[in-house]
Amino acid sequence: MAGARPNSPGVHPALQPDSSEDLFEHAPCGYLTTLPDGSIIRVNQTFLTWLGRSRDDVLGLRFVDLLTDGGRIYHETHLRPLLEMQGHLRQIAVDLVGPGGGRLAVLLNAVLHRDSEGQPVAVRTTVFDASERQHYERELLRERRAAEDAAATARALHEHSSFLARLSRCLDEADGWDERAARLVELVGGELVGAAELWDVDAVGRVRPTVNNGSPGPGAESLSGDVGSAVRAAVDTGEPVLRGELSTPTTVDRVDGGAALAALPMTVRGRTSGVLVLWARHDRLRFTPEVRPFLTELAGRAALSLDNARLYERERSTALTLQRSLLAGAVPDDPRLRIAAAYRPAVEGLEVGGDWHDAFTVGPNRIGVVVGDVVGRGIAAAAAMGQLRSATRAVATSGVGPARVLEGLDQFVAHLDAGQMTTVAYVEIDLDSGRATYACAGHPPPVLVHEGTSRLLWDGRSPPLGAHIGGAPRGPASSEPGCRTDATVDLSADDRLVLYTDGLVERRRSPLQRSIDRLAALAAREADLPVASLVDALTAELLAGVVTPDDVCVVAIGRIATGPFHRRLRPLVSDLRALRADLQAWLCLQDPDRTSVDALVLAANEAAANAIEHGIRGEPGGTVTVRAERAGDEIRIDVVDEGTWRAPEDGRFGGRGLTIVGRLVDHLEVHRDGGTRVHMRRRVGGPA
Amino acid sequence: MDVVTRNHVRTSGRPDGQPILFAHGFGCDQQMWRHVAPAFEDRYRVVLFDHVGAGASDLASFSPERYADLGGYARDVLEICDDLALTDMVFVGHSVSAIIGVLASLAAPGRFSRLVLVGPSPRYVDDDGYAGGFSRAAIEDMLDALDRNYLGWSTAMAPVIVGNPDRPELGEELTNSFCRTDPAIARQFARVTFLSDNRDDLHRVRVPTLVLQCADDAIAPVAVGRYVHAEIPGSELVTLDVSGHCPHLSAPQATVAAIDAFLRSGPR
Amino acid sequence: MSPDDACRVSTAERDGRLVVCLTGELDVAVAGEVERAVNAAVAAAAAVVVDLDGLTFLDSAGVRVLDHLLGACYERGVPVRVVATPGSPAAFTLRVCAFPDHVMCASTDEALADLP
Repeated sequence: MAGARPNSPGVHPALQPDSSEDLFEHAPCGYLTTLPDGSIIRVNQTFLTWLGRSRDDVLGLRFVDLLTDGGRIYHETHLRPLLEMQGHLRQIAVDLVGPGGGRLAVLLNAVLHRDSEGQPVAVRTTVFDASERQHYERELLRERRAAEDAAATARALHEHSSFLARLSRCLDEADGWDERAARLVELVGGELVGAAELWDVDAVGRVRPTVNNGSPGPGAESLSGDVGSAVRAAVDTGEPVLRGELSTPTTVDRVDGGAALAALPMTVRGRTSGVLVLWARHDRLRFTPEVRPFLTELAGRAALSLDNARLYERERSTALTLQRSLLAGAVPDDPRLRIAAAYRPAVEGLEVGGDWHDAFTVGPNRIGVVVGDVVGRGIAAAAAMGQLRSATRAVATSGVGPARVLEGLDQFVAHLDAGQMTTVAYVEIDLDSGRATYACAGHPPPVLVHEGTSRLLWDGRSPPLGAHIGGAPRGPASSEPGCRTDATVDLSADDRLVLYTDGLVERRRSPLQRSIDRLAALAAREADLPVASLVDALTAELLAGVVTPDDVCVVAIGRIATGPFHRRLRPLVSDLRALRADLQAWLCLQDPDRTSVDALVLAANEAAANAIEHGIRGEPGGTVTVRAERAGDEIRIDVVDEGTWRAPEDGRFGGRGLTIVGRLVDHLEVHRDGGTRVHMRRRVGGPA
Repeated sequence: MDVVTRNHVRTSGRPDGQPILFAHGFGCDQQMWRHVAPAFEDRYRVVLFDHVGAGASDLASFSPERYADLGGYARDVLEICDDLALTDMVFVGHSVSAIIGVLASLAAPGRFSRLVLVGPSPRYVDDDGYAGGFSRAAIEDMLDALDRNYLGWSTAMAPVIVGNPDRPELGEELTNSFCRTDPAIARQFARVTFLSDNRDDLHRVRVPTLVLQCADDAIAPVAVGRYVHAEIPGSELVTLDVSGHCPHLSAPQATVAAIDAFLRSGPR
Repeated sequence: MSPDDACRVSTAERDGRLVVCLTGELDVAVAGEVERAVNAAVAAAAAVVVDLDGLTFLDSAGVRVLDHLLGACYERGVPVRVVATPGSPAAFTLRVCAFPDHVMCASTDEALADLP
């Protein structure tokens, strides 16, 4: 009776050949496969049924699109990172958006499949219905939260934390220690408690009140009184001290159910630098033992913020002082060459950098000018800068010329073990011929302005100091002769040479070449300003509105010759000082008596000041030109403005200026025709 | 409790190199950086840590007062800097730690030379005219989801982890063992993270900043990245063609390349 | 070379008199600022000496600052002397401006001795 046995070997009806597909589609759990970016490429019918959506609807969506809003955040912040790191997830509870927008509570298991290279290929996820479990969990949660909410401390905690958040922000917004301390007592004393006072603790532990907010009797309170003893106790124990009844009456409310006074030690980095004293007010924070943790935290935050301000001020000021002392120093005093420099430290709030400039006599007729940029910031960079500055002078004054000077600095950097990758532009100028010899070690090219057009000096270039040169390693090899090169260019009287550090031109969103081209164009346009004004115009224009984290150094060099003198002034009284410097140098070259130099400088200054004050001030395009020339034994100066003359308000000053001019020169003419032209002549004698 | 233990601080790379500090975001711990941090070890002093409450940090150091807002976490960052004497530092922060880095840099600007903000968002909740990406209800819903998973996790898994403290290799075997966070702490951290509003802090940043944005990020959408970029003066915005909120996990090479390019660019 | 260090005002007390020293270049660009600083310095002084020997330049706006100072001192009955050594840049400008001789002294010592 073969064939009659129902249980004969063979396949059970439930396990037909197509049943694996069926098992997948109708399994008691949901299945889905997603790509690593989350898009769904395969999904089973069970899952679709739960969702109440069609296959076409779901394919191509990302898995997160199926989650509720909250589930989506949880998925992105927890599940996805977890899956990427450990390759699988187990029993994770999330809510899907079910039919009709309802929630469908599920548990997920997921596995991340990777290819042989380890790259993620797909994620396979199984989904289990968890509505039962969810119900139970929700009950648990509800109970727990109810318990939490019932606690009276919860609200206070929230208020405290929002106060701390506001305090931190308020303090951090203020710049220095003084400002932060003032804000601290203002905010704490004005809003949280009755009044607040900050006591200073010095290095040997002495205390004294410094900043207060209307506290009762600050200063008058003797150190042996209530406050003084509480402050001392706070310093000694390092713990908040709460005092109930006070022996001296105060203007502050009597407080029931809490101490009247709290002294909080402000401890940071292991040192108690101050004590914050608080007086209670009945409708504000009560000083009960329960608020101790809050008060401790309050004092801790305040201490850190004040201490940061103090440390920062100290370091910045040390570095700035160091830098200023290094950058100060007289420019060689020779009328044949005008050198003007500007240094602008990095934007407020950042540490000083390592830029420097210097000018010095190299030989009887030769002046060296250097601009350099040490890598890094702060005291270390400023110190390295100082050493390199001295080294440059020392090497240069032996008269070896720019290329050898750089080689000397290479050697110095190798021995110093600091200042590597410093960039330098160095130029030596012969005062008689105007020939300039220059060399750049990885530094932006100097700008030369000649007859109204500018060009970049790209010759004489080699890598930064201490860098690998010509494939040779850093160290002795790089200091061998011949590694560094220099180049020459001739400067005529109205030429300008501009050296600068990259802070002047480096912009985050602009290619360096474009910024340097802009500098070159600007230098050409402004080259007829006095030399110091040229520096000012370049920094003002190129750094306007720029938040640069780097410091900036600019040096402009102009030769003074005996031929006719010509300068343009902007409508700024600050240009007068720059004019005087250039004009005085030119006058000195005419070799007259000392009194004539003083008289003509003062006369030109008064006439130009008048022109700016009453002719063109406030007119953006307005200019004043000053021309001077020698004719025989006479010096003639013309000061011309194109503005409309505005009579001085007091009717006196302008007139007085011109009266003075009349006493300083032999001949004075004032022409008012549209603008104003003041023509002056003075006979000059020989050297006084 | 010293800072190194409290925050489970780990350093690697060149001891004399410029410091680069990696700060993990909400929901995870320092292991998040394991595909990214090593790429900087040849040139930098790499510092990793766990926020208090996350990873292997000291849970006992947590106090609701101290961590009532992001300022508490920023304070931890500054204390780590103090302890390790980190200056001229590159700070790389993911998600909420991007904002923590911003706050730390405002409190002590001199310490930071660069900020790298990976998927930052100064405010998650939509506000008058501001699209943070989430409604207040969605945030509450997420806190709920968080609670439910920790309920399951804390009962089922905690004993296993506690039982094997001296066999870290077992960690690999434990389900969902990465990114373990104490549930109560995680709840507060989530609240602080997702309900804070730090929009007004951005414009005061004075440190060169890179905003690293994912092209398809459900947590910090592209519009938010653009907002951060526009608010932080002089910042740079790089958008990675990556989906998700964790490019350092899903596209570590692209992430490393973007950070590296930023660090090599511009003024030192 | 920045404008803020163009002219500096410093004070010292000698024999109970206030000595105000000006150094640098006093011109129209800094006159307002210098005037405020000097006024603040002399506000409570009983006798004042203004030492101009540190100036490398003085213009008519600077002379106006001195003029205002003298006027204010006269009004309050505070004796005042101005020190400008002959041959110095300040002395040159003051001479050109016909500054009143009776307040001018050639040295600080002379000025202190001359004060009532």
